[in-house]
Amino acid sequence: MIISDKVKRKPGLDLTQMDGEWILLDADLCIVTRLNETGGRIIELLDRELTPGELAERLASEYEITLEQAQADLKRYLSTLDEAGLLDKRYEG
Amino acid sequence: MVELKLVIAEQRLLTHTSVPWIAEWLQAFFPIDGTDPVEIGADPLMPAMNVHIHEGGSPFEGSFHVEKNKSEDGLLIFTRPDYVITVDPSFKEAELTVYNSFALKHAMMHLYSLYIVHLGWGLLIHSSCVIDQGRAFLFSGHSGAGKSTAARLSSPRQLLSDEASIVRITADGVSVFDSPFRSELLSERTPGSCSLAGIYLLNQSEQIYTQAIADREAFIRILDKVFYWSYDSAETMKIMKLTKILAEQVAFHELYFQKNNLFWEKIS
Repeated sequence: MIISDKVKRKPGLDLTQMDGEWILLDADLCIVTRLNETGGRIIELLDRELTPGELAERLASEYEITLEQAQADLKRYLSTLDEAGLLDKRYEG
Repeated sequence: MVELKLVIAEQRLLTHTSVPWIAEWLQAFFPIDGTDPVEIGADPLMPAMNVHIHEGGSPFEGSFHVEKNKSEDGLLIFTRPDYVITVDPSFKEAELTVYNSFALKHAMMHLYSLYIVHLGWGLLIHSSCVIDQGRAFLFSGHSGAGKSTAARLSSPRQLLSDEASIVRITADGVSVFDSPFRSELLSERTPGSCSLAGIYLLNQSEQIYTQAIADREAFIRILDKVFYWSYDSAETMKIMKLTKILAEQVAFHELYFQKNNLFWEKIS
């Protein structure tokens, strides 16, 4: 179940594009993370301080998938981001 | 007390030391403003940083690990058994304590790398660099890949570096300056800078060929070739941004080469 708290990316991260693809720069940990298009889009959306539920709705609409599918994919992705220390707020999927 | 104004690319370091071997080493390896026979070029763009150098510490223990600390009054302190660097956050004053010439060379590289990143001026990159027909080509790769070998095989072309290249990075262009931080190959000093035409990542091979590397891959591949000791995430972000500009501005290639000078036929 997705909690309703807003979820944000960790402050100080820089999202940039090269060759049309996304790269996330974490200067705190000196880590560069390569993201696919959807991953980059989710990181972008994290700037807007949406709840996971709102994020899933946006993704379902933009990628024309079911809400359930978007929720499941998002849950997995946010957990991965959290494990990598890239979220500002603990996410509990 | 001996005062020497060292010239490194567009920076000036005004060194102060009372230790004779330190003054001799600096005079041997660095162009000195006002006394060097080679025309140094443009006027200094910025005031010199004062660097006070003392003798002390203990022998190198085999590890390049550097401890980073901040003093209560905000000074940045970098410590290895054979050297200590203390520098104020505005990079106007620095103090080095070094055990021997090996420590002095490493401490100077360390300080200079911190300085040019602080200025947002450029990067010190673990590589050799050679001028061919008025354009600079940089050779990098993992330890033992052949950076010095490529430099040696490039003779009689002018050498800008054999270990640590000084790379000026702007959105308008990338150029390389003569590096005093040499490993073994000394050469005539080259005044001014030379536009960087390509970066080649070295791989020893039976066959000689090149392979283009996409910007994004290049960015990640060159990032760990930068000489830097991170102490602050804002400074680290500067390195990441400078490296990204470098990857976007300059063509990167894998270079598969044998230990002879035929690889120059594949470089353009």
